[in-house]
Amino acid sequence: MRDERVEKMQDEDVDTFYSCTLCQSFAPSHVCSVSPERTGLCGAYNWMDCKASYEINPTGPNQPIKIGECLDPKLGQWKGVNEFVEKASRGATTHYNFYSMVTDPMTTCGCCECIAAMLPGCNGVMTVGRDYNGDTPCGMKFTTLAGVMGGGASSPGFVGHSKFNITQGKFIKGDGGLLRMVWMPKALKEEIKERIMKRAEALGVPDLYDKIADETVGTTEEEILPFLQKVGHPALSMDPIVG
Amino acid sequence: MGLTGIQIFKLLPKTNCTECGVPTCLAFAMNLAAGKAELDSCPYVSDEAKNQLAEASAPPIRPVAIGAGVRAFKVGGETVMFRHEKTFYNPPGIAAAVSSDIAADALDKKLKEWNALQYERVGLNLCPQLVAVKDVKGDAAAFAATAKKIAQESEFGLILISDKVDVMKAGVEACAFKKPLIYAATADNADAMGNLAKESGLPLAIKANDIDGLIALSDKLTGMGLKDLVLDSGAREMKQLFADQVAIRRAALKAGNRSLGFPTITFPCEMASNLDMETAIAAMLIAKYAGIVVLSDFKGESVFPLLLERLNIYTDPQRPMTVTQGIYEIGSPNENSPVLVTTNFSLTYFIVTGEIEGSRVPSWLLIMDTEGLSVMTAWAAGKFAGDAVGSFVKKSGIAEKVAHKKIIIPGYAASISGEMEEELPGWEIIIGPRDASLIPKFLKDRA
Repeated sequence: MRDERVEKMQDEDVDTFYSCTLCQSFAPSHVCSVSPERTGLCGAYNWMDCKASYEINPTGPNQPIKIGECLDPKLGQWKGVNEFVEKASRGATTHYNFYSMVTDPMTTCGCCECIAAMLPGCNGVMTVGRDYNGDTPCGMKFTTLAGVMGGGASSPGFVGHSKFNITQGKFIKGDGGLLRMVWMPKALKEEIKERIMKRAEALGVPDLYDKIADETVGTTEEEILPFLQKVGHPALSMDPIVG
Repeated sequence: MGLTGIQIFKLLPKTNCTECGVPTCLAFAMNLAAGKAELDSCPYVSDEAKNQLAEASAPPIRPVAIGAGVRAFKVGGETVMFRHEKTFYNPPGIAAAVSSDIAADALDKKLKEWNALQYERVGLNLCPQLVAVKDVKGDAAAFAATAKKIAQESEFGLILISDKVDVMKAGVEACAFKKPLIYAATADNADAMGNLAKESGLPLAIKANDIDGLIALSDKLTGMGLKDLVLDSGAREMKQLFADQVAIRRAALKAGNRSLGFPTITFPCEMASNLDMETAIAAMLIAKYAGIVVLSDFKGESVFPLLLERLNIYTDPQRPMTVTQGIYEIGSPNENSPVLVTTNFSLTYFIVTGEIEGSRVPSWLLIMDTEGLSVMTAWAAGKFAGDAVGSFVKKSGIAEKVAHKKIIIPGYAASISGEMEEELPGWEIIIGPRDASLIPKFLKDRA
């Protein structure tokens, strides 16, 4: 699998990320940046794919970005990326962070596989995929979320990401990483069960999988909070998510 | 301009009481940030937060409601300069004008004709919404009588046009229940018109000679406590009006100019000597930001293209148009009629339906919910896969309506036939033409 090759890489290993501007046909100011540990939010392009795409078509939608000086290692912001994004978005976006959904997150075109949203009442985040049509604890269904935050906007508190990205090392690392995850649709959770277990183990909370609520627990913050307290979800004891 | 959803959220009560109509404070904050909600909807927000939020959270262009009943509508509330940036929300009102001295039978005839101008397209009823009553001789009684007749005997909303306050007052009394738009407050009568609008709680149009004049008037009336304003920059010449429309929208959205943060009203009927030219001007205005266009008349050939143009521009480009999943009867099909299946993208549906109708072969058309994707896209996205289509056919209940077990699938989805056969034992899966235009020949050859 292509994803496996990338899985062994870390953002620190490379000096070049890749842009993706395929979605500018309908979100004209949106610019994706793909790093080894942040695959494209559509789930279709990882860093390797972008590299290959560039080598096949050097003037295409995937351009190399020399990331340059790191401005914020925790939230994931680089000078070179900012400069590229500002130019490619024609001034609409001046900067964004790779590893945060709370502070100036990356923009979203609308074709994201999943959308993560902050759940202030639970001091955590949730994520929902395209395949789940029901209500979610943030009060918005996937389609509403996509409408609210799509179109190339950076919407603090929300970020589009791929399914694969959930278990990548840098997933919302600046906000506390995967340990912030308090709710996912059951099907999505089960689909990536093995990878969640593995990642959770590495983060030192091997039973995280069973602590993440799903729609069988509830679809409002009020419903899932008692569950999180009962199982002792790590997010509850983290720093407040809304600063 | 522009607090983010999170910044707004921090100032809200965070109780998720749902009384504003959305399930969480966060969702409400996002709507506020997008200019799609008003802070007043939250009953528990603190005064301190209110002050902080008022400026940032009011929509940059205020939505104004006009009319009552089935043709009531809202204009304004827009958040972008160009449709592709997001979407346009509230389609403009289309109006035709009558004089206040029109004879009752002539008015009857017009209302009857105008009422008939309704068109079904993509499951929507397209129709103009307004009649404008123009005061001609300062005759308050005639003005009120005409307004009353329109308000009571038709579905149309009204625009009351007079610069005389006493005449306007009579008109307002006659039809206030229909929530008419008062046109217009000018520099000369702003106090009196403003008070009338305030007392009656009706939206008020303001007319000036240029944009600077509009700003002065708008500030004055807002200062009097009026909220629902509609702007007329006074231009009656194409180039200047176009420039004004763009300038007003830009000022409200890009410069955060509150004085110009209202929808506009325009008068093609005062800009040309014949309805054809008026219609052309109206077409330009519908594309370029007008909140209301007033024509001198409605004719099928003039109003229909405008309604379609309006539909096209104001549909949400982020969502494909869809039709409801189910069984559609075309012609009067019986138990031996052919059964076809396709996706619920509205264009697919209308093209396929049109071609089946054209074939004059009565048929059953099964429309499957593919989230608005066309045949090839749905197939590529796995939403028109053989097992899914098969299971849909099974559950649709078509088997009880026909005496045969044959189903025609789109030619471009030929590769799903094998899986469909597995899902539908005993059914014959027939591969139809790739292009809808070949459906008539296909159906006739089989009949």
